[in-house]
Amino acid sequence: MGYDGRRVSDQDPDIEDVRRIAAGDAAAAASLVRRRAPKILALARRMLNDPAEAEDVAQEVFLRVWKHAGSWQPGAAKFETWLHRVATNLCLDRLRRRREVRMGDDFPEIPDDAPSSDETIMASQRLLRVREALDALPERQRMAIELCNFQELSNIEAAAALEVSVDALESLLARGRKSLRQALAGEMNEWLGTVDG
Amino acid sequence: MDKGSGGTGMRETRYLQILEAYGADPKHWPEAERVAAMEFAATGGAPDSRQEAALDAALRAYGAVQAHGADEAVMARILTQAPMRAVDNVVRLAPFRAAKRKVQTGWLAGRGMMAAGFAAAAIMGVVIGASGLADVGGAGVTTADASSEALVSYALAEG
Repeated sequence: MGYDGRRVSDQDPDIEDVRRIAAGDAAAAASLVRRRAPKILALARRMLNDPAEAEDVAQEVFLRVWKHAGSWQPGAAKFETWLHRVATNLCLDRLRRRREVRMGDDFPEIPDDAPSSDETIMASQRLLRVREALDALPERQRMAIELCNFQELSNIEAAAALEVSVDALESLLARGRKSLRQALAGEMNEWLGTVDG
Repeated sequence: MDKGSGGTGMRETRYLQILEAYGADPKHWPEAERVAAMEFAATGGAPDSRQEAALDAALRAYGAVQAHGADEAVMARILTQAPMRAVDNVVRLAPFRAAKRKVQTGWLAGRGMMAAGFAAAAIMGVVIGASGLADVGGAGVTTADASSEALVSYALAEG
């Protein structure tokens, strides 16, 4: 149930770059970093709430790319899925070590030139509550939502990144979303307004 | 109690599972079930998905704010650790080569080689310093060391 059976490596956009990286092609390395690093960084930033730690994770992910490019064998999973798996594990490892997610004071990140209107402030506060609700989730539920909603992986790819079955992924997602709905119950109508509007 | 599929191949129980796990946006739904679920949603008898849509909107807004910030400097720092040949050597060795040519047209080839060694060492220091390896552990050191060694080898071979 719940997933398709297509072979995901048939049209993997990263394979050619990986092959060239293994041969020492710097342009291919730059191409892969430009294409994949932003999402890996965003994942790590959202999960860790610490830009410096997130960059460390991204660095570590790509160190493994440089190290393993020569031995990478296209299989059932896309290279991007492998990247997400590495990033996921690194983030979860750090969160386990930390056990307590720091709540930074620097959120929300509003552009400097944004008008400081009441509406902007309210929007910021709403986003802050979303972050607090996400941070309150168990790590794996949060990572499941990160992979499916923010990284926009398919259910198969997200399950592979988390190293669980698709059914288990669905369970993580459903429990995570239920907790989010409960945590944000007081303002769901406001978000509904953004949908209807 | 499960309702029928209304001829769509999707039962309400499964449709609800999809909504609860993946939200109301069909683009997040499992590809193999997407069409059937969309057809079921369009029958008019499907459960209300507005709360899931509201949560989707909240997550979308949060994701959009948090997504930015993968700046050039970060990507450049990631690339400094790549054990590459072409760009590393062309870009980083360009000043060194210019300096080396100047020295070689001078009076003592031996000094030129010495300058090449110092220049390579200096470049190696820049590479290692820029890579921020202190935080990433042994694997990173190995990679950067390999990169630096390759750089020095290349520099000396060119000499």
